[in-house]
Parts: sequence; structure tokens; C-alpha cells
Amino acid sequence: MDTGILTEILAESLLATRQGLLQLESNPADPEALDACCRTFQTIIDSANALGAHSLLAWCRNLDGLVDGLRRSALPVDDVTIGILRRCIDFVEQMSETVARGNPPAPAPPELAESIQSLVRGLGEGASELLVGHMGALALDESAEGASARRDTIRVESSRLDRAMSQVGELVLLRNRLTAAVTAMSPGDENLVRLARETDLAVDDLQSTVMYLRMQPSRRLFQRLPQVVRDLSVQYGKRARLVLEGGDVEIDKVMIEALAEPLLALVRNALEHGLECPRERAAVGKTEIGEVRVTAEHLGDKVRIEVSDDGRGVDPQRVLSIVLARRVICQADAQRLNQEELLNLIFEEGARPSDEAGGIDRRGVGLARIRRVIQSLRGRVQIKSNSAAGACVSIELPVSLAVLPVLYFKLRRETYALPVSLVDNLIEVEPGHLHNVSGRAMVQIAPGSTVPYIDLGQRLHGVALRPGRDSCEGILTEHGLLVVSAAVGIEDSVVKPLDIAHRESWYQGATISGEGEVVLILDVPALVHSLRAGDAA
Amino acid sequence: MSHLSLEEMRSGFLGIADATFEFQRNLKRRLREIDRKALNAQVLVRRHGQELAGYGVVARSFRDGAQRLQQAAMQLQHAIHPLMLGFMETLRDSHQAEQLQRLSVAVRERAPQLNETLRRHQHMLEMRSDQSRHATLRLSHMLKRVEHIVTELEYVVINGRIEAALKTDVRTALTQVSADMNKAVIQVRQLLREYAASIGRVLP
Repeated sequence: MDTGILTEILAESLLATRQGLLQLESNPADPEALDACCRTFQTIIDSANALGAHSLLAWCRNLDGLVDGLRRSALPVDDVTIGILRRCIDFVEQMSETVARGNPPAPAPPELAESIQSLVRGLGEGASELLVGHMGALALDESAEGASARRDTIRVESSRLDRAMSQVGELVLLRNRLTAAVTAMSPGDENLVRLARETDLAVDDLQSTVMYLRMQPSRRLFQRLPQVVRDLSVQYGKRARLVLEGGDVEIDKVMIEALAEPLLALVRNALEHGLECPRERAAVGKTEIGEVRVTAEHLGDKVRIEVSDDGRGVDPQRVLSIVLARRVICQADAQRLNQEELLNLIFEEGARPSDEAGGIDRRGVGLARIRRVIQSLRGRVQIKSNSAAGACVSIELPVSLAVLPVLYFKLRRETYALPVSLVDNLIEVEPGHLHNVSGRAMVQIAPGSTVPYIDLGQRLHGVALRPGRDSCEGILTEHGLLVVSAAVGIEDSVVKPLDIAHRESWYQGATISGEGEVVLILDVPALVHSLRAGDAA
Repeated sequence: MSHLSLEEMRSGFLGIADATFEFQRNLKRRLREIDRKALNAQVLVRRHGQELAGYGVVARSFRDGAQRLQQAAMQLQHAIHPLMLGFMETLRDSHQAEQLQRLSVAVRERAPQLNETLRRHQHMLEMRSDQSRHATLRLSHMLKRVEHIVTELEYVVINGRIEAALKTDVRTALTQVSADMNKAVIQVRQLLREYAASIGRVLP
């Protein structure tokens, strides 16, 4: 097996082992936690063996011996034992990284060897000899023997999957063109229409299969969190319990990688700013141990990840005072926002406070940057808060980034697209329902529901569409009613980046429609943000 | 038609012309509405992914039906044109024949060509009557075709409502979309019925 893949397996197992040790630490009597540790140690040994790294294998066997000592109750499950095991895991990680780079690993630190020796003295003579025997010089034989791990699964380089996905993307575009050509050429030819439909379904199936090849469980995203919560709890003198749910929910590998830092930042925020210290919590009648909950769940073709805490929450008025002071938004616009919208201004650039209070991130990955990352993944993020019950940051993402379903629309003669995920409804634009509120165009879409009126003719062509005179149709989104000439149809598209676009583009890329036309895909949040910034200025 | 007076004919034709204008205007709007509802259903399906794959078939059939309906409506418009043209020519010939018939016998005896002209007009009127009958038959056939597609759409909507009832998680959204589609189809059905009735009053 490929050395890179083996070291990846090793890294995963090490993370899992760390997690197991944390569980064991919080509940030393839990036999399942102990068994889980033993299992992951065994995977580490298998991987080291397959790598042909004898010194690494020897160290791993030491760990296995220690864990076996725990399992046989020959060693106590206490802070000392777990601390030593944790340091051993750190050392194995260092060794595997060195091996991965093709270098021989350094010998074990003498004090670690001494710690182990003193620990194993309590294991009985035979076991002590077995363990101490491995503490010597760490000679290496890096000639990988290519040991075959017999499993039901195989590991494939992710670049191969990326290539397969990219090729399926091209196939999707060809399928779209074929469907359009068949519709245009021979609407009456039943055989051709049936053939095109069957091709359509087969491509859908293939796309779905390849898409799921790149999926990974959210558990991978959560792996680092227990350690972070533990370390930060100690650092800030807080007591926190981390609850992880939905580890089996699968997400595109690219998203797992992109979300790692934002998720850590959100958990750090919850720990640092959300949760109160035990005394404060007791004073307001809460339990001393705060809770940070990270969950993942499927919502159709979307995944929702939530980071919530039962801390002090975020005050919308405080957010408002900051964004007004920093001119992120003007007073007139602020008056139109409800409490939830005010709260979500926290994700705007410049909304970070400089003082201690406020419950807003001040270090690491900022909230504005988190939103940018989420938006770049075609997702959205929002926050809800209740001063009594804490705060909850909710991230919604598409399951996969490979193919983007879009709605094509006409703006006069030109065709544009926008992601289907943004579309709430398509409605007729009634000229009598247009209003002007404080200089901003609004439209009544239902009794008691008025939303911003965003004329894309005006914004993209510089010439307004005139409802009642020009052909007009409304695309209702969470940002307002986008007014276009006509909604045309939906299609799966593959987004091609726009290299020529300047930094603040209103387009997230381009695609090729079934008619073979290059179509720009609108970045609605960027457009709305730009409009809002213009109004504020 | 031949038994009707010129005034009755004029009034009947104008009635059909008005009804046709109204029908064309409303049909365009209603068809756009149906297409929009079909697109809405497809958007909903896309937003929910595999979970709504069954409803996806319904949404697609509805959109296909909506597009077939648009094509049929276009042919219906083409069928209306010769009928309206025939009406105008019939009115013109009837008017001219009536003018000639009003001339006194003495005048007609002094100008024997007038009788020939009158016979020609009456012959033309009979031809127009035949053409109008054919155009009416064609229009009636096209109306039936459009009605047939509307019936297919109604069947698709029923399937959609059944599918919506089976989906517990997104039942509200699906039920709303299905109800919207149903409403749009009913409006087209009503429009067709009213138009067919307007034509039937003049061209039984």
C-alpha cells in the first residue's frame, strides 16, 4: 500500500486514540472507552507494520502493552497513566511524520522512556521486560515491504477522485447539451427522447456515485474538538462538556478540510466568550458545567452543522452599537432590521469589538472570515441567541460542491444563472405592489410580507425593468425579490472560475448551458452586500 | 351563418374578436403561470435532493406538459387567425351584396352586370362560409387538443398531490406547490371553456 495512505490511516488512528483517552479520562470505569482505545492501538500497530517502520512498530507495541496493562487492571486508569500514554501518542505522531518524509525518526526522549519504565514496574516482571526492551536504540528499516492489509475497503489518492469528479462534471455538461439538442431537434421522436432521458438518469446515477466516493463522515471534522475543549477549559478556568452528534453524517472531503478551522474557531468562541465560569453560572442558577454542543444533520441535499452553547449568549443591541459606530450599516437600514437580523450583523466585516466583552471572536479565524469560507462553499451561516439559553451558530452547506443546480433566467436577451439553493419561490411582479420606503424599493409579495425589490435590470444592465410594460418575473430569495425578465429553467451545472473577474465580483463563476451558451452565475450575497454597502455610504 | 342578418353577424364576429383578444392575452399569462409553477416545483425538488426524487418525476412531467401546452397554444393562435380573416371577408362581402340588393329593380335592369356582380358576391359568401366552417373545425380541433393536454396536466397534478401526501417531512411545501399547480391548471381549463362557449354562441 502507498506510504502516504498508510501514514494517513496512522494519523486518523492517532486522533481516534486521543479521543478515546479523553473519554477514558472523563470516565475511567468505562469498559467501552478502554476497548475503543485498544482497537485504535491495534490499527496503529497494523499501519506501522505495513509501513515497515520497525522502530515505529516497536513504540506502538509499547503503547499496546501499556493499554493491555490498563485492560487487565494491572495499571490504574489515572491522570499519570493517561498523561504518559498521551505523550507516547505525541511521540508516535512525530515518528510517523518523520517516516512519511522519508527520514529515520529520532530516539525517544529519555524522560519519556523513564516514565514508562517507572510505570511498567507495576505490571509484573514479564511485562516490564517486554516494554523496557523496546526503549533502546531506534534503528530503522524504511524499505517498505508492501505488506498487504486485507480489508474490504481500499484507499485511493484523493486526486484520482477529484479527476473522476471533474470528468463527471464534463459529462453532466454534455448531457445537458444532448438534452437541449434532442428537445430542439425532434420533439416528436419518442425513441430519441426516451434515449436522452435514460442517458440523463444514468449520468445522474454516475454523478451521485462519484460524489459519494468523496464523502467523509463528519466525525473527522469533530476529531480535534475534544482536545481543544479540554485544553481551553483548563486555560480559561471553565468547566465544559462537549456533546458531539451526527458524526456519521457524510460531507464532501473538500468541505471537511475547509471547515476544520472555522469549526475550531466557533468552538473556541463558545468556550472563551459564550460559557461563563463556574461561579458566574452558579450565580445565575445554571449548572457549573457548561455545555458546548456540535451537531451535524442532513437536510435533503444539504448538511446543517450547529455549534451551540448554554452560556451568556450575544446581545443584539451591543452588536448594533458596534456596527453603527464602525459604519458597517447606516441608522436608517438598522431600523428596518429585526432582532435576528441585527444579531447576524455580527458576521459583517468590521463588526468585531476591541474590548473584552461582547461574546464575539477577537482572535484566530474571525466571524467575517468564517462567513466568507462558508459562502465560498456555497453555504450560509447564521446565529441565534437567547441571553438565558446561550447562542447557536448554524451552518448550512450543500452535501457536495461538484455540481451546482442553477436556475437560468433572462435579463432582456441575456441569460444568467443563480444557485437553486437561493430560490424560495418564483412569483409574478404586480406593479401595484411596489412601494418606496425611505428611498428604498420594496415589494409586497403577500399580505403582511414586504421584501426588498432588487431590479437586476438596473443593477446589471443599468436600465430598470418596468413591471407592467416589460416582461418581468420575480425570484424570491432570502435577500429580497430579484426582478428579471423571465425564469427559464433549471439545470445541473459545473462552475468554472472567472479568472478575469476583479476581486469584488458579483459573479461566482460561469457555466455552459444546455444550449452551449456561456452563462454567468450570480453571487447574490455579494451583490446584496455591495448594494447595502452603497446605501450605507 | 347565412341566416343571420349583417348586423347580427357583425355583432357576433366582434364578440368573437373581443373574446379571442381576451383569450390570447389571458392564455399567455396563464401559460406563463403554469410554467412558473412547474419551475417552482422543480426548484423545490432540487433543493431537497434525493428525498423528493419521486416528486421530481411529477415536477418534470408537469413542466413537459406545460411546454407541450405552450406549443399547442401557439398552434391554436395560428388556427384563430384564418377564422378572424374569414370573418372580416364575410362581413365585407355581405355588406357589398346587401348594398347591391338595395338598388331598385329599374337600376339593376339598366345595368345587367350588377346582377353578375351580385351573384359573384353570393358565391364568394358561400365560399367564405365553407372556409369559416373549416377554420372553425380546425379551431375546435385545436381547442380539444389543448384541453387534452390540460387533462393530462390535471392527472399529473393529482399524482403530485398523492406524492405530497406520502412525504411527511416536506408535506406542507409540496402540498402548497401542488395546490398552486392545480390552481394554474384550473384557470387554464376555465379560460378554454369560456372561449369555446363564446365561439359556440356564434358558430354552433
